[in-house]
Amino acid sequence: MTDLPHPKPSSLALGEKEDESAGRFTRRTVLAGAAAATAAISVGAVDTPASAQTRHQDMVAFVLLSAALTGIAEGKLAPNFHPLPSPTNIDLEQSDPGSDPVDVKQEYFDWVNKLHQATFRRLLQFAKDSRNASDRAQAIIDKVQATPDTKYLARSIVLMWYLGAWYDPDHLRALVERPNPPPAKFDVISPKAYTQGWALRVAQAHPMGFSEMQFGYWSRPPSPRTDFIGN
Amino acid sequence: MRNNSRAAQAVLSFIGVLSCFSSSPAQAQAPSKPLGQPCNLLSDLVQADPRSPKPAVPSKLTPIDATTKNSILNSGLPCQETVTGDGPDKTKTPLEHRQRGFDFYSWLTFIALNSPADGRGIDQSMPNTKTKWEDRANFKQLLDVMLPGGAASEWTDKKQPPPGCKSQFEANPDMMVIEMIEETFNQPFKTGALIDQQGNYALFDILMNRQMFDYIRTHKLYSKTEQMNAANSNLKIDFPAGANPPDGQIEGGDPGGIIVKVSWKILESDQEKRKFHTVDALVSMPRDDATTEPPCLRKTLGLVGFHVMHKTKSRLQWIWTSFEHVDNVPEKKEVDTRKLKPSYNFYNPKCNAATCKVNETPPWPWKPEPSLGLKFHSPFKSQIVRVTPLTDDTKKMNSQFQGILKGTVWENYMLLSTQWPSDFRCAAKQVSDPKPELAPNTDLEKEPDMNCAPAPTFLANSTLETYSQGGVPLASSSCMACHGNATSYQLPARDANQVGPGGNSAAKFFNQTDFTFMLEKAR
Repeated sequence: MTDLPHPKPSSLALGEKEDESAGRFTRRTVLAGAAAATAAISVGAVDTPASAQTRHQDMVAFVLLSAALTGIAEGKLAPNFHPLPSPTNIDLEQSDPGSDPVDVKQEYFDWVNKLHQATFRRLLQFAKDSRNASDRAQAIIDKVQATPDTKYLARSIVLMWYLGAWYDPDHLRALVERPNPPPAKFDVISPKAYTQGWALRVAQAHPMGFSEMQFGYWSRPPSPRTDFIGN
Repeated sequence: MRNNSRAAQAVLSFIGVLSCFSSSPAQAQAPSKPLGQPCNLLSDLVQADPRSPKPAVPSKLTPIDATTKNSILNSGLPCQETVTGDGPDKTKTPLEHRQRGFDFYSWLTFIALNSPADGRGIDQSMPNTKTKWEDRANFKQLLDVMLPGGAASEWTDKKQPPPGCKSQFEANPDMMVIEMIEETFNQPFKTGALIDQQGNYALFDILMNRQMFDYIRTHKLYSKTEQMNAANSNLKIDFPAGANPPDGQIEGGDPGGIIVKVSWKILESDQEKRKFHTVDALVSMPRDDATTEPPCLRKTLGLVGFHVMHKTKSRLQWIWTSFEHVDNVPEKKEVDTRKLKPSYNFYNPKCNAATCKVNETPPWPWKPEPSLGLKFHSPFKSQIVRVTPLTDDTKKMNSQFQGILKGTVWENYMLLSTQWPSDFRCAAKQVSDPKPELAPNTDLEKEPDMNCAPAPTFLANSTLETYSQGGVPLASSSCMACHGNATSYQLPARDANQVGPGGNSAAKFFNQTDFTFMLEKAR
């Protein structure tokens, strides 16, 4: 019988090793499989290797971009994200954007891509170009800030991750630039997005009506902030 | 060609692996070994070495067909899951690869637990053959552990049936005895009873293995008073976790804690009895008053639902396996397209939606009326539809395992899914200062998600979580999200500043009970 202290953030899983090593297949092998599937099926809306490659790389870039903008670790925004071959030498093709049962990142990606595709592509390119900079986050932010269209879309993306809601970039710009700004307006992206908003998690709390924290968590000291946001 | 040659070698190596676990007919008749001795190391991927769960390269799915039938069916109980984020189908995500691994593990577990208690292979089963989990040498019913008055018991103690069942039980002490408490007929969160198409109650029961029992006994958690004792004020409930033997070895593993929850249908016709795994049971009706002994009914019960909870060293949030009888209910899509079977256990295909409202709870009262036996008090019959369909991958695996179980009643059961903690860094996180004598030193207070991202997010058995199917966060059934809220009667260490009436601590203490509600049943 004892009181077991909380783990350090660096505490690792017993099963991590086997899972990690097994999970690190490369994007190249995925593409080989996709190519074989394409050849076998030959008709219908099959994902081509080229488009699969682009979508994969774009998602890795989106996770890097989002982490730089929000200050929340990539692995928290996209569980099981693996920058490969190393966090400071990221190969977009090799890296694993992560797969998790909630997968809110895909929902967010599709949302922005549908509404502001051209500007979004520029943001993703910033992340790709800066992925191995010594200060990746700052390098991305510097590029994002350079023009109003990328700056305000980036703000929308920050709000999307934190609040699970969409504030249109043109509207955000109007709030800043107009002498009599219109009232703030937004759309909640989805019920899933509502539960996944980071604003309350950063505050070591949870959204109203949704919590994954243990019953009675309020009766003991909170875990370190790093447990919540990874940084 | 080179790859083909390597694949062929892998298959040969796999056959070698299987032969290590297969039983000859002579061995099969030998006295049954304890479950999980040795651990079943098979996985969904062909292994590189018979003594190691590591997959061969290139990866190839373990065949589940006539060539491997005998070996798979006799491979025993997995002590720990063996899953990887890889597989031959490169279009799948790591999450999907792992899900396939967990589903394969679930089928191995189902086969091992439902194999005959006498040591024969499951392919030798008759509908009423006693299974391993029904054998009191392997599992104990919850109410045989949480005894009246919080009394202690030994694993080897003989079953003490309720007085009303005593004479029938003594005549046949091998019979299953089901005591009707509220949890036997009412669904979780008291959401309602389930009534089959013959108007009978479905019955529910919970059992635990010896590792669970020993932990409860060691810490006297079978007693409410002992739970509240100061000696338990700092105990973090931490049931033993299953682990495979060290890599390259056969011996040395242990299955750890396993809980089984089942649902039964009362069978009335011989025709019905051929489709189910059955038990001859005594059902002790609910007690109405303190002076009258409730009646004890002899019934044939058919297995309709089967949950397994298994704690392993790499999934400290447990692995949650759920099976059902294939004729329980239709999927929603099948109802919408009218692709229905002639009959179901809990759905009437001939009744229209206006008359038989789908997934509605029965009218009050839900408690069985002793004078009616186990018949419901009104003509109401449950009209249950599965809200979340099985995935195509799970259906495919079901069909393969059902193929190698053909000719037994076990071909009539299907895996719904396996829920597992998908954030594996979180899932196996242990305390920062582990103590060897307290292994596995599970950290149960991780935040913000103590469940470590359950996959799939929701999982419901149509007979065990009937009224909480769906996909609404915190409302629909998720094994881990629900069981993560389980707490005990433990009290915090006495604090001089917070002493309430009677000298007890007035402070609140919500001690997590390692994902099981069983400790709430202490008396």
